[in-house]
Amino acid sequence: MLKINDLKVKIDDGAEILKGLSLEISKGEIHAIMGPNGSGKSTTSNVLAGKPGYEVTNGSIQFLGEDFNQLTPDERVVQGLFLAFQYPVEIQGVTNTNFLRTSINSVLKARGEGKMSPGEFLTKLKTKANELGISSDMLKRSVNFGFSGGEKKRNEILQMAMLEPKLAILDETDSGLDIDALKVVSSGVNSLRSTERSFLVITHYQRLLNYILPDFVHIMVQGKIVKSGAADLALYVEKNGYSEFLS
Amino acid sequence: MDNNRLQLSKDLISNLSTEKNESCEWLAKIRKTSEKRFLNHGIPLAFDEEWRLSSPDHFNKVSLCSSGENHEKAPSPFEKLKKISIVFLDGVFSKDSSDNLRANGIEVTMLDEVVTDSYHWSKDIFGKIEKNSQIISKRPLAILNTAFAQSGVLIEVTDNIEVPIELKYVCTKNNSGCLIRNVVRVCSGNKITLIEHFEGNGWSNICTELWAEKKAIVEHFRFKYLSRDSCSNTFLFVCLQEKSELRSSALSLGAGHSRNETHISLDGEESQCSISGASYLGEGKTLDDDTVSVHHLKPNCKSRQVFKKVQRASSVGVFQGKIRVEREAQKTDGYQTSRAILLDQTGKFLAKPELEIFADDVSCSHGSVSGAIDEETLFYLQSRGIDETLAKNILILAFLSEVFEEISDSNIKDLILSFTEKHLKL
Repeated sequence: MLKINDLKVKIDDGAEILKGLSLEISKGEIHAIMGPNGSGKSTTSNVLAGKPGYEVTNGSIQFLGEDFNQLTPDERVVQGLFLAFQYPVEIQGVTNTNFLRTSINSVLKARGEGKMSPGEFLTKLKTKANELGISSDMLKRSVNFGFSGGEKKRNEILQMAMLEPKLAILDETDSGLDIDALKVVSSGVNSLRSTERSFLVITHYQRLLNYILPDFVHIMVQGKIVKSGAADLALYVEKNGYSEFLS
Repeated sequence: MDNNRLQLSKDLISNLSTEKNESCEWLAKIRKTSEKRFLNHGIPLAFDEEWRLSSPDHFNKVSLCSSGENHEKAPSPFEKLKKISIVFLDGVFSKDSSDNLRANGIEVTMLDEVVTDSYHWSKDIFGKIEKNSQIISKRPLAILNTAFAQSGVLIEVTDNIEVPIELKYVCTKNNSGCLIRNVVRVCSGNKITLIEHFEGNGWSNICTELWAEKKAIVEHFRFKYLSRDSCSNTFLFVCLQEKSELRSSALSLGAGHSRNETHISLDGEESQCSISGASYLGEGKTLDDDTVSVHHLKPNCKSRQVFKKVQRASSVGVFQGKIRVEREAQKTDGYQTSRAILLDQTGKFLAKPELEIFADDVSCSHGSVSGAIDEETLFYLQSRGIDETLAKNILILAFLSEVFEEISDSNIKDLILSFTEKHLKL
């Protein structure tokens, strides 16, 4: 599904952040990337989502056989990518419901499918919001505006549940969450697991991976993956730290 | 005054003098003194303090041709609103296009119908609030209006009027134009909702004087949907008596050169006003200017100003906001904010907030910010599948909607919001 090959990326002011990243994710798999601060984890998710301000100097990103690097952020969503933000943005003056409706209808339109009927949309929204404990008041409020840290992260998962992506990237979704919120968010993610859907979970701590069990764990240091393994690699890192991977 | 300014001022009024209707003595007298006042002030020139940020050239080029031709009707947000419409076509009252103006609690007279020399209530107001406004800022083109406007409407409100009154000004052609003067008196404890609606082309100078008596409430909304070639100068002069309230809001979605001058006198204790405006004009060298002055004369009054502008492709947005608090006006609460989004490198926003405070127990704040659309927010919308153009328009609406929140009439608020959504193709 996703194939990253020897990717080198620098930020616009010149510093190279990714220094030869390679990663392959197949259908239905859950991959986790762990690593110390500044190793390039968030850059990886930003570059995959097409955030401006980065320059790919080498290598390629292929998603379902398509060269991702040529696509705008919204086109990538149309292809089936979703990024849950580490810091979801507050948008005063745009209600959560309108935002989700515009988002879904934009994606459907770009895929050449018809708009979702208002009834169908609201039913789906209500069901998904209930599962995540999102009140109807939160849906009427401006996007993330005045939301707590936990509410913002649940709102990200709601957007993911509505958009039903093929590949979802969770960028430090656990940061700033207490244990109860972490459980709600994780069960939201787990309910979306399927043989057709893949996840890339980016995190500092192993804690999240207790709830979202990965198939593969990668250790990222200084802009590339230095070790890959199964779920138990996360436990090993939790116990021993990253120091042995820092050269 | 220098000779050049005097000559230019004389040239300007030489086009206008011939059209005067002098059948009402008191009106003729006010007009005559105002003509003198105008010549004393002279026309505005680019180096005048009030005009440093936006050139007066277009506003000085008086053109009063009337074509009276049919024009293509523009879409209106108020189409489905229950209202009483008073329509001026190229500056002339159009009975055919207007609604029946007979309603309980309201007396409507056309300015050119005031022919008798007997007393008319508007005599005590006409030109007075305009003249008082000159103490705070010079507005010679408003004096011009007092001296030369031949048409307009005089509205006296003696009850709570639930149905909004729409004053619709339509200029049909590029070279058509109008000078219109309205006077409104809202009697004690009564309420009116007044919509001023601008449509079409041409040149216009339209002034409304509004007198709100004790505990009166005035809701005012100005909507401009004019062509790129238009030049529109509006004046709103309000005098608020004890415990009366003005809530004025505006939206400009089209104009070539537009200047809205507002002056509020808080002349009664515990009176309050909120003035707001949102604008998003077309591309090209458009000018959108809001020049506001609020004069706190009595204690315990509140004023609030919220202005938001979106500028693009060489367009210029100007906000000049002055709050003067006289020594007597203790416990004044004044607030002012103006913000602009610059969509590209060529759009400009120029702001001049001014506070003149002579009382020592007041709370006054002001702020002005301009900047580009936030990249992070734009990316967030795009990362939910919304393309860049749509995402920007969503953010423009979100930005302007803070002003819509200032509209207290919920019907008008909803209509304005959905009209703007359509305008932005949302």
